[in-house]
Amino acid sequence: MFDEFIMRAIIAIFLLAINASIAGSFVIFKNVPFLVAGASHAALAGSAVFIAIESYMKIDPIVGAIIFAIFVAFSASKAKQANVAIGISFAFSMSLAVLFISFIKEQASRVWGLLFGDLLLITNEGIILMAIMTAVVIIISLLFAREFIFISFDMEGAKASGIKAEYFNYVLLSIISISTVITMKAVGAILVYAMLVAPSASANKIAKSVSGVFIFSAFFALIAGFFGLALSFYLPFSPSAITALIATLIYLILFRKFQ
Amino acid sequence: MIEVKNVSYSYNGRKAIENVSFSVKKEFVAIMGPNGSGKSTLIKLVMGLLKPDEGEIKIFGEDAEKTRNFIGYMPQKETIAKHFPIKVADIILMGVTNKKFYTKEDIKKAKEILEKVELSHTWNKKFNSLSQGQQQRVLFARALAKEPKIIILDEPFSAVDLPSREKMISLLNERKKDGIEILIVVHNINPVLHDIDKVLLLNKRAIAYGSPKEILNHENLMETYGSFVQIVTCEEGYCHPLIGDEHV
Repeated sequence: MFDEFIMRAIIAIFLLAINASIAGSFVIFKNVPFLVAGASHAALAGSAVFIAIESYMKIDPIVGAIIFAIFVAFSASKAKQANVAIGISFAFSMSLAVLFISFIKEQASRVWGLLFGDLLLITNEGIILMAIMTAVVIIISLLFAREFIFISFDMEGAKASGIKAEYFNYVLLSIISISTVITMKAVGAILVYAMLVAPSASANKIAKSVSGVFIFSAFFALIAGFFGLALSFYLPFSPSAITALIATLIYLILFRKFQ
Repeated sequence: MIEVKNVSYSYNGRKAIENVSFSVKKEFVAIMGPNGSGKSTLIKLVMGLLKPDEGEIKIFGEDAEKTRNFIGYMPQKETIAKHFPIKVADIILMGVTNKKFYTKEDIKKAKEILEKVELSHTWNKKFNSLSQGQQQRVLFARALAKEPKIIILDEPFSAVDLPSREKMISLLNERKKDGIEILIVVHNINPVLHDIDKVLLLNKRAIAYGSPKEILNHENLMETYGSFVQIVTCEEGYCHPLIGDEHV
């Protein structure tokens, strides 16, 4: 019988794979990998702010993480140069994060926990929250898949054909940001970058269709997640770190093969 | 019908279009001018993707942004994302319908239009595995797919070989016979010179607008390009300006 920690880690890996598949693929299609880094660090700041105000308002810090991450998506979708907007939001939110962490010294370890994450330390509440947010990501992506693919392929053409391209661009970037927060809960703010970029970048190298990218991304994320979890029993390393390392290694192997 | 009246547009305070007026009524019109002359900006204004700072644009009597469903558009190839494996079928279907799900009728229509550009065999292929010329023809087919009332093409013949180009022009001529308005941005006008009804010489402002036989002369071309442009007159009496062959 599986230990409940492992059971939760296995569920988290499946949720992570779904997010790596949907959000990760759109990160590659829209060519916005920096958004993942920006959103994850903004989410860190959001958590720090909500932990700091916890004594006044009892709201889960994940709400702060989502609000801040969506703020990055909003600035990226409004700006002409998305990466510059993400960079500025990144700097702004990290300054806030450091500032608020210095206010909440006794609680600071909770924020640092979000920075590195741990697959084996996810709580039941954490899993439920991840599952609900993943369901939101799945539903919105299924509803607007055509629009998201159209604006990723040809923003101007999408506008010209009457699609509300700016609006869908914002929704898509927000979905990526929400997925970033979900994935961050499992692997941490730093390694989320590896999980939302590397599996889809690998899939994009070998897939023969858009749906193939989604399928291969999930597959690579699952391989990385399960190997990471299994190896962490034999090696004295964090499963999140090994998972991210395997995801990156898959990309490097495919990069050499399909260069 | 496209009516552009005294339209001006600026990017960050820099004038891109200055007081341009012209109208297109069931005609095949080419817009021609040097790099940075505002050609692409002008067609974005016509499609309602940009709002003029001054002047007005009416499409069939309505504001441009309300009439996007009438327009079949082919953007410049540089604006298209080619780094992911989208299939040709998906691209053509984008042009056929904006609905969430395709019907059998939509797929049939998409296959028919792909056949017209002689690329039926690419239906299931990745767009980025095609040659540049084939990619252009796929985007061209997408622009025609929704049976638009207006066709707007930005540099459609870039990297397209001669037989394919002739095929594309003959398809445009067919549409013109059906009363469709065609607006085409070209760097090199010669491939379509015998087919177009009018040409707009643009360098931020409209230098001249009229039939190619009337307005393609040394003076107008000098004013448009800022330097002397050689002209060769063909047997049919058209003046062919010798401007860099391709805009790549």
